Amino acid sequence: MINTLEQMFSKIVYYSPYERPFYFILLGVALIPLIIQLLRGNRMMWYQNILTLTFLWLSFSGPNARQGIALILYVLWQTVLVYAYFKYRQQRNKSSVFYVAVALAILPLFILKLFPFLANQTMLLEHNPQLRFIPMTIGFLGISYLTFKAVQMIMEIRDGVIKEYSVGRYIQFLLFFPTISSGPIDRYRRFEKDLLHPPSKETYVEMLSSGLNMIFLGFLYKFILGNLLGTQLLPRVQDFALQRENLFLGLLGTMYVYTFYLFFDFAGYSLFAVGVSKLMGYDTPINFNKPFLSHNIKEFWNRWHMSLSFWFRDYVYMRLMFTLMKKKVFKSRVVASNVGYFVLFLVMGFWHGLTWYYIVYGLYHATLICLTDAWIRFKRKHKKQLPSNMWTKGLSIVLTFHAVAFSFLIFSGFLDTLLKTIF
Amino acid sequence: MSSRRKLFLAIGPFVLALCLLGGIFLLPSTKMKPAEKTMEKASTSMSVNVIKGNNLKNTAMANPYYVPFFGSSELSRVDAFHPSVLAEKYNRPYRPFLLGAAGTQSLSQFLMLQSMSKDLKGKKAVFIISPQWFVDKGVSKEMFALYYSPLQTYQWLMNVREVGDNEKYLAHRLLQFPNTRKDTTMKTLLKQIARGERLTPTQLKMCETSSKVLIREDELFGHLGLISKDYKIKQKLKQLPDAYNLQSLDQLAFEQGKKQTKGNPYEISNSFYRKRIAPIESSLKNSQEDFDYTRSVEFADFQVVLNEMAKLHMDVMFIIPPVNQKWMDYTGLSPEMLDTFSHKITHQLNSQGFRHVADFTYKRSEPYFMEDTIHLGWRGWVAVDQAVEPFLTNTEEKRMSYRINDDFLTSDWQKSPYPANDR
Repeated sequence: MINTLEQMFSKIVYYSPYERPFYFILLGVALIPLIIQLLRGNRMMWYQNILTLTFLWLSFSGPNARQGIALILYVLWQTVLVYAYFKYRQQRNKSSVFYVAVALAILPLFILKLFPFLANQTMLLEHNPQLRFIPMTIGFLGISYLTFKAVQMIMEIRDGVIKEYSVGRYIQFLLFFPTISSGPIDRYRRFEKDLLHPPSKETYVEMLSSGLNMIFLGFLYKFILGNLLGTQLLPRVQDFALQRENLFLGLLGTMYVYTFYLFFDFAGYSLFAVGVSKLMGYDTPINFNKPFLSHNIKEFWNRWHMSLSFWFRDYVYMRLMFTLMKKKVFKSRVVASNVGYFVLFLVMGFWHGLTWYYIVYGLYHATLICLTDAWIRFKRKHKKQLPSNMWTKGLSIVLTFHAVAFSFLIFSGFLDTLLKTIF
Repeated sequence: MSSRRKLFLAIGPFVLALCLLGGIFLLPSTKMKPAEKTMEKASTSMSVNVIKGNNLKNTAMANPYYVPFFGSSELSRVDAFHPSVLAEKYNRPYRPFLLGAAGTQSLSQFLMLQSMSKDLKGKKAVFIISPQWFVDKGVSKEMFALYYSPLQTYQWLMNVREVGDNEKYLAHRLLQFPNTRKDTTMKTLLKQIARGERLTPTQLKMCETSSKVLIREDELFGHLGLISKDYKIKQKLKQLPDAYNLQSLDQLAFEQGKKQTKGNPYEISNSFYRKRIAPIESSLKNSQEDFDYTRSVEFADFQVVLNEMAKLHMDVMFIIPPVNQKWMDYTGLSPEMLDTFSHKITHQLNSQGFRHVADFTYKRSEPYFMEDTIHLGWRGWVAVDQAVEPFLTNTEEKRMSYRINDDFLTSDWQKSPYPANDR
């Protein structure tokens, strides 16, 4: 009996979302009933919930069971927290309570990110080996993205734009499985609208078509281009740099290859997430819009990992600017905006991880954006003296691309590896 | 367009793609053997694709002419006395096939070794042990990632027949690296072996499927982008006298060393000194006083290598290079510590029946033995040749008798400050 059960379980395969082509076959089959009903204009909520649980189970049990437990605990934590804050907000609206609520929502992620850093810096772990289990018990794939969702919830409750709190819908929002591991970061009010109002038959046929299209483009991006760049080309150019036949060429190659690898891998993943959402009748926002055709850094951030930059714009930058202006901390708008950018990109750097290259990456982008702003102001004043034509446009696209590619070289951590081989 | 037609247009390509995909999988794999010329190039390239792949190195190993030289960065110090140059110049009956690069340590060496198991049975090999590998935590995540080969890891999983201490240790160790954990299937299988359970027939099938794709990839791309050292070697060939004579060779090595290390007080090659030392020289003074190569996980990782060599009845010459004495005096690296390291590793080798150890630890103050701080060069290579040449040209059949002792996997051995803890 136990043996047959064991046999059965050993036949089960576990995948993190979109990990391998076989995941798509499973997903495709499982989606068929949902698609048929949506083609008739109905959404089978009960089936969608079962589907969600099944695919979460596929990614968060078996070898990842520990993460599964962490996920459950995390969702409990956020649900209770948001519920408590919602109840409070209906009575009163004190800033301090709001800040505490936001801090509590970020707390699990904060501990997780801070921990390896603390562990390296102090002798803490040497003396308390049991502390090693803390990050292991709270971490799971996608915790950052769930945190973004939870924090926006608290902020919008404070703003008073979320007037109703449904525990069930909030959990569905958090655990929407197509986007659970790496976004795109949806907005609660948008998601709730889709959830309550399934698309019309006509709209859905179009969603189905564009969804399938996206998934296939995703295959090309992630499994073909991203995979070739990441597993074949990247190791070779890195090797070239490491063996120091020609360090400069090696680094240049690494910069280009890593940049395109990062794009195709992540944009491919995002296409999967948005495509699958569409098959399920949800309009998850897109994440990439031809980012390498941007003609300045500001535009780049409106086209690259868009749901993240919009989240940072709406919930960090705008709010900070508002506070800074209201309290008149800085006399000049320009200074305030520059400070805002540095805060935004530093937070983003810290979010990626507490290592020098993520922080430098953040500072680099903040500097570039401030310079871009200064340049735009300068251009406005000297409109007549400065040429603007096809060539200057092209030049600005090439320059922007290289500025960005260099930032990804920093971001890749390869410089760190290289330094370690030298010394 | 009618909605039926729209639906057809949406789903049609999807069905077609599935058929195509099925076709590709069902196609028989054609064995593609690399050309003789490619293998010759690969033998000195030390490229990452040679290390991670199978096709090139395994085909070479099947040929008795090629002898594997396992090592790391020292292998890339190609001067006139490098093993590849000497073998070519004096028309030896063997050619070194260099396996390793800056950053490969025991774990990467093991994965390579077992991936060639079919072709290495009873073969001779040379293995250069760098004391610098034996830092507290062993190989770093970044270095392991550079040379990590999913193909070879799946191959190991498929070939595990019995799960003993060695397999449990290795599975546990591999799970400490993000590369293996990212692949959910691999994580599942490694966890199972770490628990002491064998893989089920279904799981073995899964490994086979995964490795089939990787083998195909290796056959298609493995030979592309080899960095060849041919040119360098041809240049060096001209510097050597036509007739082999040890004394004149050593004399020549002395003179070349002397000529190329004039610009600094450490007898370090000028170009290395200029690029890697001079810019930070003062910060390196006494910087290595606390370095300890006598307590390290690497001892257990290395034991896994020995275990595999014993299993394959290989006859291996181990080489332990020294550290440049003049440089040690400057950085404060302890000679006593290095002596202890040499005793400890020699004990691990000898007590298990590995008899061929060329230990150069005490040659540290020999002039022009080292090309730079820690890498063999000039007279060092001549000395290596003195050990390697008779070992490889002696064709007398010998039965290896190894007595593998799993105690060398334990953390007791890793941490034991040999020989204080009397064994």
